[in-house]
Amino acid sequence: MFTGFLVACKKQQGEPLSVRFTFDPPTVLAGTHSIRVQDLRFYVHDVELLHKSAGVSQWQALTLTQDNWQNDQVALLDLSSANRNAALRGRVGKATYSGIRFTVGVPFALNHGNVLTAQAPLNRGDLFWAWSSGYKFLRLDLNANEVAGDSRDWSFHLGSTGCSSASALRPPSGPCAQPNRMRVELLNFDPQQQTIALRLDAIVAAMTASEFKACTGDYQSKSCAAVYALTGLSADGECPGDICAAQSLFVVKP
Amino acid sequence: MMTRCLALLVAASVLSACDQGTPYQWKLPPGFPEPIVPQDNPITLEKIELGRRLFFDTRLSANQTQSCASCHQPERAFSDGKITAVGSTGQQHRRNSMGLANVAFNATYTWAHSGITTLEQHIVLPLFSETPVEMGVAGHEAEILARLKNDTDYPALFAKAFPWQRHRIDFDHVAKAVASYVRTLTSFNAPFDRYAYYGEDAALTPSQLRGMNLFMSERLECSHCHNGFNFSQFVTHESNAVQDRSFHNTGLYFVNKDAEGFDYGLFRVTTDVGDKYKFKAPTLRNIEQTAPYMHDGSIATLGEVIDFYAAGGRLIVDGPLAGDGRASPGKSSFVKGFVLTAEEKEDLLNFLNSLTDETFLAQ
Repeated sequence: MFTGFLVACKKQQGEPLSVRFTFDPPTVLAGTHSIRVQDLRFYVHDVELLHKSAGVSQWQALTLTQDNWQNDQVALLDLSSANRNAALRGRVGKATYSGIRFTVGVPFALNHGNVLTAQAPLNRGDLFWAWSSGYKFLRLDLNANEVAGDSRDWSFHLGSTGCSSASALRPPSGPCAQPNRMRVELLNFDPQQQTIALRLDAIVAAMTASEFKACTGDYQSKSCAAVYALTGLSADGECPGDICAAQSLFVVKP
Repeated sequence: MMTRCLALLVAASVLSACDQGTPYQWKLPPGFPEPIVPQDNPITLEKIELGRRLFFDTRLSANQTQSCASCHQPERAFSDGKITAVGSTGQQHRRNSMGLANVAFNATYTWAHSGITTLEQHIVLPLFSETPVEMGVAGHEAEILARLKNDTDYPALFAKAFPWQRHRIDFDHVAKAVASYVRTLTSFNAPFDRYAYYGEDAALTPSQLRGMNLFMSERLECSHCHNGFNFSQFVTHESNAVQDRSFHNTGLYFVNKDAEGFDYGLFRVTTDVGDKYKFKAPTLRNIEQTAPYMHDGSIATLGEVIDFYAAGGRLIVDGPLAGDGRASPGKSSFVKGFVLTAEEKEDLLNFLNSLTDETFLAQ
């Protein structure tokens, strides 16, 4: 009885745990010197870790540490060239974890407020479209330096669409038609040993497929087809059964 | 003993008041973050007053023909209406004088420089530049400072602004005072602000609202680079010190390799080929008042600027700058062209005009 109390107490406090992110360097394209990652940032919320014990699987929420990159609900990861914030930091009950799930996005309740008065990390003006559509959940800007001397920019920005409001500067009256929040589940992930990689090689292939036409909103357009397919999201901006099982943006890296 | 302690305390607070000067209250909408002020130049009413006098004083240029305000005129939102600026000795500049609305929030200064991050750093450029000459201070420092030292008002103004170095009248103090004044040039009282930040639904007309929605749309992509409260990516403030400093090639030019003396923008600073043709997206506040447009003033009206972006860049058929900017290498992926009806263009122009702040222009 007494021991049980101690364990419960410890669980509430939790142990510090980091979840590290990286990206797979893109394969060098034919005719290209290099690909520069000018911006690669994304918001993440509702992080849970999988604990298996005696054949029973249980998801445990990661309580985010609060700083300039994380508040109690949302974390911002920045894998741009400067690699400024490549890990989620939080606390979770002491256990062995073997899987993770998280949502790429900003919860609706926090997505349509005033960026100027928002708490970090939601105070980044360059990740905010406007009140109506809210934040860019993921912002990726690449620059390809081609052997021929050309330098070409390409972007993929993911966020909610179909948000109905009085104007761009007023919040929507109800949920957006296409939320575009990606619920990612990675089983067989050991946070102590492994990192989560964003598949930049797949993204670069999508960029080539789009003939360098940016994808920043009209996700059903031709130029978005290849890159949007990587998210596993359907045309309605949701994944069947909540989890984006068909996504191929995030993989476990040994 | 009690009384003596109290007396000491009073003396201490008077001393610290002298040290700091009178603090300035920012004129910002409710809840707005304040701009970042360098720690070695706290903003005070005394510095602002000195800076204002210096900003409008032609004696600050070597030949006493120009002040800062010659190229930064209040009624033009602190721009000058010229295609490119002309210095105090008549030398033609390559670039258009930028307006000064909300420069306190700038992450970098000038049209295309990644390393100038404070107004104090910036102000010495127009003062001392020799290629081209702007204020022409270089080589005339002592002469200009003597004008200030022998003036009836300046010694007292400098002493009040810098109480602990009250006799130091030098260009460091000039730059700090002018920077303090220029920081106060905030513009947040346009109809757009009344709508956006004061919640006044009637502040914008239906046409302006349609134009604003077009401006923010993925179809036009304007707000990708002209984003946030200052319509520029280059914004920094106390609650967001992490800055986006992407410069952009808008497709204005794609010149022949031997175009002599061509202004390649950021490339000049970084010498990175990928930075050719790149400039920063300036604020659009009071844009109606700051014609002509672009870094070299090469587009006369806002209507033509919209046409330029609609075309996805500019084709120059002949002359030394001939080339198809639409195919310019490294052109921003957001400048992809669009089609607007005549009514939509009118709406967009009406929205841009809603960024005009009459109280700002009247100061």
